[in-house]
Amino acid sequence: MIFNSFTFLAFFAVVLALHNLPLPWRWKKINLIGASYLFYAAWNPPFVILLWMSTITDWFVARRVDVATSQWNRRGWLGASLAVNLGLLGFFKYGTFLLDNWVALLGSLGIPFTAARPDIILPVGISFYTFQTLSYTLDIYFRRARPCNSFVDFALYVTFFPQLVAGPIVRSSQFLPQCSEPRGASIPNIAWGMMLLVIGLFQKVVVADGLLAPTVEWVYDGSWSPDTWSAWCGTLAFAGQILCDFSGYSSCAIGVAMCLGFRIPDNFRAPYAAIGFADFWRRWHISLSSWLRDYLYIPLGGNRRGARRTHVNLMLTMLIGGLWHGASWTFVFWGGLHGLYLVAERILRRVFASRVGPVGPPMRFVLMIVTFVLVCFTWVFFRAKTFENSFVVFAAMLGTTLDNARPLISTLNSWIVLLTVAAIVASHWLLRDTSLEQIVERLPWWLTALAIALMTMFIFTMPGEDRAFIYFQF
Amino acid sequence: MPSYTSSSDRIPSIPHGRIWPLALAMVVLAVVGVEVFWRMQGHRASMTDDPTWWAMHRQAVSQEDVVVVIGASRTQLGISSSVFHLRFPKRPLLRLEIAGKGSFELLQDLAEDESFQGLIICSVAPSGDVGRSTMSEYLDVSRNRISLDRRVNRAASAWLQDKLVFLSAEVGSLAVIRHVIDTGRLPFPRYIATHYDRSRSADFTLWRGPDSPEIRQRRVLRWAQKWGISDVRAWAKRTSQVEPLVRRIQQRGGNVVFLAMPITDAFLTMNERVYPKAKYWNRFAAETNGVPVHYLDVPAMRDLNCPDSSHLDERDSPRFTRALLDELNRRGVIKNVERQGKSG
Repeated sequence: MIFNSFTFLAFFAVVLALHNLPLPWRWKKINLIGASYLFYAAWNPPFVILLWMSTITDWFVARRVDVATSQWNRRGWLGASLAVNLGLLGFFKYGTFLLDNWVALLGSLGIPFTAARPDIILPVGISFYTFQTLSYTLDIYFRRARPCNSFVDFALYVTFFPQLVAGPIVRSSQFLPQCSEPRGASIPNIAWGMMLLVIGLFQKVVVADGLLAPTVEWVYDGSWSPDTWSAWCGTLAFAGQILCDFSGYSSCAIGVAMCLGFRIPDNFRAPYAAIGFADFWRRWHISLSSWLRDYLYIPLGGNRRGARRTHVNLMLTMLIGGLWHGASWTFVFWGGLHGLYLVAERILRRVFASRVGPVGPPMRFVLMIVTFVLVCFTWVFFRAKTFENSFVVFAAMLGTTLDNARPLISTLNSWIVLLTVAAIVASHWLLRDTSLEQIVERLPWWLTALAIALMTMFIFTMPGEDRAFIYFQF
Repeated sequence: MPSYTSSSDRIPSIPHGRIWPLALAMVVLAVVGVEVFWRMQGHRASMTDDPTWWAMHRQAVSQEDVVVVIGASRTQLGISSSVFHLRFPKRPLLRLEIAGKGSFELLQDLAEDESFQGLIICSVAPSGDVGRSTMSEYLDVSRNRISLDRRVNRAASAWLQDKLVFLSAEVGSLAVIRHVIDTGRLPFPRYIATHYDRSRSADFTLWRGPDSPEIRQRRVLRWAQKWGISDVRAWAKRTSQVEPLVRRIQQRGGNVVFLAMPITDAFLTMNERVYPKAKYWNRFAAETNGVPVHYLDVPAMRDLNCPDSSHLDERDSPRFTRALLDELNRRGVIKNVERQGKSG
């Protein structure tokens, strides 16, 4: 079920009504668990079994990890959790990819081997709930948390529908304490939650799908190679599309959860206003980058074992982060590029930190633009379906085009892309050191009402193609 | 650190009790205003068709006594669902035409579907049935499971689009803005509307495309060059592949009507030159086990006019449909047992 659908509207109205009935808190939580299963099953009912497996495995394993007296036993139980969770993820998400690469490897060694292609359907959101559930067991393994005492609370943590299929990835320490006390949504909670839902849908339906997606598809999915201008337009459009698609989903998720009285963490903080790549990853998909930091980068040694090891750890973390996004080498390459950026930034900081003092706003703005442009280059590999396609667009952006290159974007669409992306970047610059809430508080109340009404009207009058949220596939 | 989309730890201190009522009032007023405005401009409700909506109809072919129409834009515009339902209120009618596509690929798909036992009305046009683009995109969607959620959502949006003008694609907010920037004026009403059941209707009085005998001639030439194979052997080979499909459907109790839809003026002239009826249709009609119906052979259909030389106007499609049903009744394909008098 997706947020921009009539079925979700009806579903959410029923869930909200039931959640506000004068029922015991336990029953309300069971209502939310049932709703979450329904939300997930609406896409493909049999895959609810995966949620059960993840829930039961980590509920049981985490308790065993906690009571195990020897390190050997603790590791064994953690290994069981990793095997089940990463095994499911590996089979469903990477099965075909691994098989293809195995066949290619054998072929390169001169061993002819053909394998029947497994017809594996990728369960929606599996990467998100796998990482979320794993974080619970890992927190207990690292003795950062104690096991949850209520199976109902834990099941709700794993399946909570607002963020189940596309994040934010919520930590148990953020969510489980909220389950212990009745959470009723106040009128301001519901009102602000609904506003976030409208803002998120506007980002998704109007900006990502309506304004930017067609240009992206012309450049990346068409049969003609783009000229330099078209390649830039397509890539800038994708930079805006992926942001509005994903941060739109996160806003919806936060808003829906807020209507039910739950708080889930932010996932985006004006990422295109980042100055440098470490800053970018503190602002982009925060719940994933912090997961990778806490459960991969730091356990690998983080920056505690010298510069060279830090760089290796950074590269490994980003390569795995890239692979998390999809079973394709282009995603790994995308992660690798970000890893290289982070390593280069660390080196540059070390070299220049002592020689250059604090920079002023003009220089910060220039650095932000440089960061944004370099991030745009990485998006090419994220969006293109093959390396061949990536390099065609990448080279075109650098001025080297193929013989069949041609202008793919009309003047009007070029203007739409440029103005939209400029507006996004400018809004991020303005929001860099403030918050949406503070901005809204400063606006006249009638202007906020007008903005909400306009956004709602635009959402209703966008009869575009039915595009799913991009991050559902990850 | 402050947040971008939201700081979920705090809720802004704003007068929610005033903001939402005002916002909702503005939305309601805007919806009503926009709907009235577009209706006053002459726009009509029209749903946005897509492969999912088509696939949902395709997946319903196992209904008892179903009649399935396959073809392209000519049947979509020429066969009136309301006339059919008036005459056969209990008989399900599925509109599986796809504009710009041929019929035979779908005929094969239905022949291979053992659950289908109904009647097919299959539009035949040599210009369209040889060498036309494939339907694989549509068939692929129909062969996969469409979740209940997606079905309900698609049906709800189709139903609303069929009722409300402001939900039509051409008056969508961004489409209008683009159109105004491009042309400096609001979009004209479209002469074609797509309905909930995928049938379409064309009001050619709203047609604002450039039109003259020369333009029609050029358009027809373009069509002929794009789609046409004026090789009677290729046509014969294609139609011979159809016969086993017809027999397969008939063995299950179904039947296939092959229908040549009306064309007039320049298109008829060109069609006669490239695909003469005597060489193409008559040979096919003589050999097929299906039920061939050519509009030139049915007096009630013969004098219908196609304003663009290839499609019927919505004022003529009821008359054509009644003539078609009468002809099928006369040939024993479909029995007029219900409320015939009212529709005929």
